[in-house]
Amino acid sequence: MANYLFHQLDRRTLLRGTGVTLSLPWLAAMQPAIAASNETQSPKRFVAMTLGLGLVGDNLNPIQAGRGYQPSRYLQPVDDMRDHFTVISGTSLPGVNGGHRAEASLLTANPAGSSSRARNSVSIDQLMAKHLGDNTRYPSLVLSSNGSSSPSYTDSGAMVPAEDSPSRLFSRLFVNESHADQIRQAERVQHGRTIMDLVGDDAKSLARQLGAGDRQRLDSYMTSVRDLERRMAESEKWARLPKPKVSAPKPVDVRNGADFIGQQKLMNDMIRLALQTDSSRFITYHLGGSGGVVPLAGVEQGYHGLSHHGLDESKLDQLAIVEQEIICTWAQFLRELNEISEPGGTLLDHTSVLLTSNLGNASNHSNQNMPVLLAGGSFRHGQHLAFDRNNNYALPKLYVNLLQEVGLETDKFYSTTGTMNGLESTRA
Amino acid sequence: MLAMGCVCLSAAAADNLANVPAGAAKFLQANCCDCHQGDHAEAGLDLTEFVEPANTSVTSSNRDPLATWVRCIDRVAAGEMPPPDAAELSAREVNQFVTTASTWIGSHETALAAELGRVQGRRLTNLQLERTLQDLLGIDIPLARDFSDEPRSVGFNTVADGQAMSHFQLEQHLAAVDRALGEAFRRVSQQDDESIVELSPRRIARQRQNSRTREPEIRDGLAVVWSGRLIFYGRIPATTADEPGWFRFNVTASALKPPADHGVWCTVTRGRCISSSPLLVPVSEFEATEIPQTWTFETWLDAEEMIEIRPNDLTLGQAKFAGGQVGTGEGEDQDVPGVAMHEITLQRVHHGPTRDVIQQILFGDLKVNRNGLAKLDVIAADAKPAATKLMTAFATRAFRRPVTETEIEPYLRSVFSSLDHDMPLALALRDGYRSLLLSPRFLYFQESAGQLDDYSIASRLSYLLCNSMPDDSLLQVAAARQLTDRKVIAAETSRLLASPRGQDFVKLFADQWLDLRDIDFTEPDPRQFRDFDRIVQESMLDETVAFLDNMLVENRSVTELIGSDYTFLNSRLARYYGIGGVEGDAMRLVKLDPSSRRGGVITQGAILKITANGTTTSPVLRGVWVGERLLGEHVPPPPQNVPAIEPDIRGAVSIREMLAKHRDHDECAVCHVKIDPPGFALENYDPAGKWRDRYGEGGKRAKPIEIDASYQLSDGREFDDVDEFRRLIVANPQPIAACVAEKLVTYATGAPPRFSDRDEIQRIVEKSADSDFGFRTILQQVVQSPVFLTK
Repeated sequence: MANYLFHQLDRRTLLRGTGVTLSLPWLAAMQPAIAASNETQSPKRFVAMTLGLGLVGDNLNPIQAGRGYQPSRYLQPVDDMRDHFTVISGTSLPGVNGGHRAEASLLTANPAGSSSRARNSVSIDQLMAKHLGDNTRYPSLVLSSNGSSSPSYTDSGAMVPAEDSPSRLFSRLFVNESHADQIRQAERVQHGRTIMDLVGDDAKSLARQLGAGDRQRLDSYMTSVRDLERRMAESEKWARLPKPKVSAPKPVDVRNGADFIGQQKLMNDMIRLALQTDSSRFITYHLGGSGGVVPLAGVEQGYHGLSHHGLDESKLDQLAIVEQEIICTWAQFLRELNEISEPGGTLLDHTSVLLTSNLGNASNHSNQNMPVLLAGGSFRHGQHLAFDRNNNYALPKLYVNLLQEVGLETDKFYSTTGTMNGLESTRA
Repeated sequence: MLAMGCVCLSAAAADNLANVPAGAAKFLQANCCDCHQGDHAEAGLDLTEFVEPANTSVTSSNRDPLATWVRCIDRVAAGEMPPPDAAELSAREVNQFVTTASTWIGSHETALAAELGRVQGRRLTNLQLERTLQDLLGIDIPLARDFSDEPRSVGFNTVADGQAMSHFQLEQHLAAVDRALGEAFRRVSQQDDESIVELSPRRIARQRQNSRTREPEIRDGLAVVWSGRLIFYGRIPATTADEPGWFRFNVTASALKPPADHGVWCTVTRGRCISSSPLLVPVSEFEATEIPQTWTFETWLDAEEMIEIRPNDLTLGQAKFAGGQVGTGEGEDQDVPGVAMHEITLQRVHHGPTRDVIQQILFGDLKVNRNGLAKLDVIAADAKPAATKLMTAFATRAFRRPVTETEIEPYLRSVFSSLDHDMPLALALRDGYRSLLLSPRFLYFQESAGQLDDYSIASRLSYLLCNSMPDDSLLQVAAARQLTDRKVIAAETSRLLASPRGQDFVKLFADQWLDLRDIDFTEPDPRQFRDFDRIVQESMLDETVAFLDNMLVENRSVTELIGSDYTFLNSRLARYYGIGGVEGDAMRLVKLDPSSRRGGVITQGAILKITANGTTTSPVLRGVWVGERLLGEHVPPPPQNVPAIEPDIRGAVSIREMLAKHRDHDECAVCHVKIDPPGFALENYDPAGKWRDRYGEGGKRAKPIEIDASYQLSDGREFDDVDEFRRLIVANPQPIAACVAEKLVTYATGAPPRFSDRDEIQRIVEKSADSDFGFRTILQQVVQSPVFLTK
């Protein structure tokens, strides 16, 4: 390769390249052919599954609190997994309202979404990815059933666009680029890093020319420049390592946009593969509400329309069919994770899976009494944590538990301090 | 960083807002604080925070103090607050408070604007980036489709406050820049290929007539596709693109066995037309008649994509085919309509300039060595001066204003450094251009506080009308310092609107203003709305765009948004609406009989569909939409401490009764008296845009209920139906004109008008009165107003 490709790396870049020991992906530990990794424990993962249209609380939450609860309508068919999850009721995000707009607050706990003026702050998945994401090819995966909307927000409060095609995701995770593409990619990345230095400086000089208001906007541009530069350095490292091989074939995307369950099943499979191959440890999957009729026996009206049931019996019946299937598909995902063993337990033992929604009651757009199911990880499961339905408990306390679970030493998330009462870890 | 920025701004605002004028504070204390005080304040509005700012930090509250003040002034001025049963106030008292508070808020805003400007740090939208890169480099490949969706703030993605910037956006931008530069270099390295292929029926149809496929069959020497539901039926593999590009198609076709009263409506679609890659993109629609006609359309094709042509009108009879394939002759006996293709020509074309112009943009007059893309190079006697000249010229166009030596210097240094390390000049320039296109000077609007300079005005005008960079002619006017002259602005506006680049101004504005881009958001339930299909939907969009286009070109009154005695229809949409006497597939102006129940944008199918959810209609949703988009009502979200009410529809019979219950709560009724009237007036239109007299007609279970579209406006005037509603609204054009002006200001400048800009909006409205509030006059007045010409 001609020397002009490398001359522009500045001193800072070179130091970064030589001074840091590159840690191999954790997957390498399972493959004796590759040198042993310095990670000996199975890593902790987090999966957030977020529903755009809520779940009917009366069908989801058991009547009794504590361990010996009678399974609710929705939980009856998944009772075999009871010891692997916790039902949490009577919680919500402090200060958050605004119905669908609260989707933006769901994983950030920031009421930004409710009032149109403020900006958002970082979501728990992106916070985890920021601190712990460098060990995998993709610091995080942000996925959705439909469209690029997601509840994931960067440090700068910008929404992370979601990937909604399982087949494109599969290619990103498991299909290697050609050798020529890899070289081209490396060149692009190297020049990209020098550009970032150049335009970062230009932004500073432009900021001096423009007013104070513009300066604040340019700050977010400069932050983006720095973040991209850092990510380019990371991607240079990963570009040299081949992607993991899996036996599963590349999936065909579900064509029917209204087939909510079909999409959920297919994306769950991709999430399982991504976790299994340690391609990423922090995954958010947004299951937004589709307007169409979900192809299930007994369902005749659009899902979104059904969620506005207005207590109409026929609508509630149809809605329950859809929501029951969502819960069963979620439980099947848990079962599959639980069948994969790895050092120290199963994949489920090392993966916290949160299922929730910003809507406690989709019919009247209430953000109180959110549906919350927490599975996996090292939590002591098998109970129903029932908080006050009239005076809700702060859900972000659970987020503090989750941050601690993946290894972040913190006792605060957004404006909430402390962990959730009654939720214990089995770890010493 | 940004979040911090906002806090700083609000804090600054709060400081200034702490000095409430004594008169206003006294008024609030005497008349408002009884209810709006403390933790249990009505509507969660604690006014003591405002009148005694020393005691409580205003920033501790979740509210934007400025917006709260504006809302207080508006509600007192409207007589809504304090509630009549709480206090009786003289007009003088109210007037005094409104005047004092308005003047004070206005001066606060003016001070803030002088320092910061009304709009800060606006960046180019995805579409604007695509078009600017295309115009800058002379290329035509799509770029915007690879960007993630952009948020719309107060309705528009041009609004700076809502625009996102993070490493995701920057990374996507870098990728787009690379694709754009790659294409420009490819074009220079190759001959432009504009070959024409003529396809006879034999080439259009399946190659083996006895195999069962989804391709056309030969019948009487023509390539035929029957009406049927099979996916990909009508695929034409001979149109497959080897390489991605723009293609111009001429399709000559005629109808087979058409129904007695109309032709055979067909769709043209692109895609790979295979199950593993099932996405299909609409290209065009046409109505085949027994007499053959030729249609021309252009479409982008990705590599391996082909086009599919088929009858696709759900009202036509449908043939059934076994096993997912069609055998030659199997459609014949089913006696359904079909389309017969006589010839297709396809031509690879380029939009924009030729190769020589692109070469001039990239390399000026330098000699180019063309040995394929890999060996492309340029020859310069002295590389560095040549690079300096080219980089400066490129930066001037990319930054939309002259660049100083200091500004270009770091970029030049990087190019020189590459040259010093023996990088070929062409590659060094490519890297240099790449850096310039990542600069914030390319991505953002450069606007300094106060009056905008000529170049900033040129950019605002060009991005408003063309969604792209100023053309050479506009930049010359800016260089001559003529753009501060309002006559010149008016002339340039007319010139750009008439130019090819300004042709889709109305469509792109309405895409966001009227949510036309969201028309696909829901799909009308096919069991309820049996004849709603893609052709109807596309025709609806065409109707609204043609109507608005005509409104601009003919300077028709903006009251025609609410009511008009004409619209634009083709034969399919006319049949859907039940309007007779319209033939042909082109949109044409149709005079409307009052009995048609149509006229005005609010009665057009596209709007009626967008404001419904595909299954049912809601007067609230439609009411809020019409109020906010057309009548200029600012409907605030429900107050924070009012619990959501859950309508129990089991005991109610109709939507009207549900909402009556809803309106029994005073705190809801305050807004719903404004929200609901347009919604009720439109209840006679179903979610798919058809007129209906009863709910649930045609359904099996529910007993049809007669629709009652009568209601009263917030001022008490009553109406019986949509016709009377339209007459009442149209009689008062000013609010509609003000609303259109506000939307244009927001879209054009990147921020909504402020409280203190209301007078300016009123002036725009007054100046358009002579033209009967013509759409074009309002646009011209907006671009000549101080709101547009100041940061």
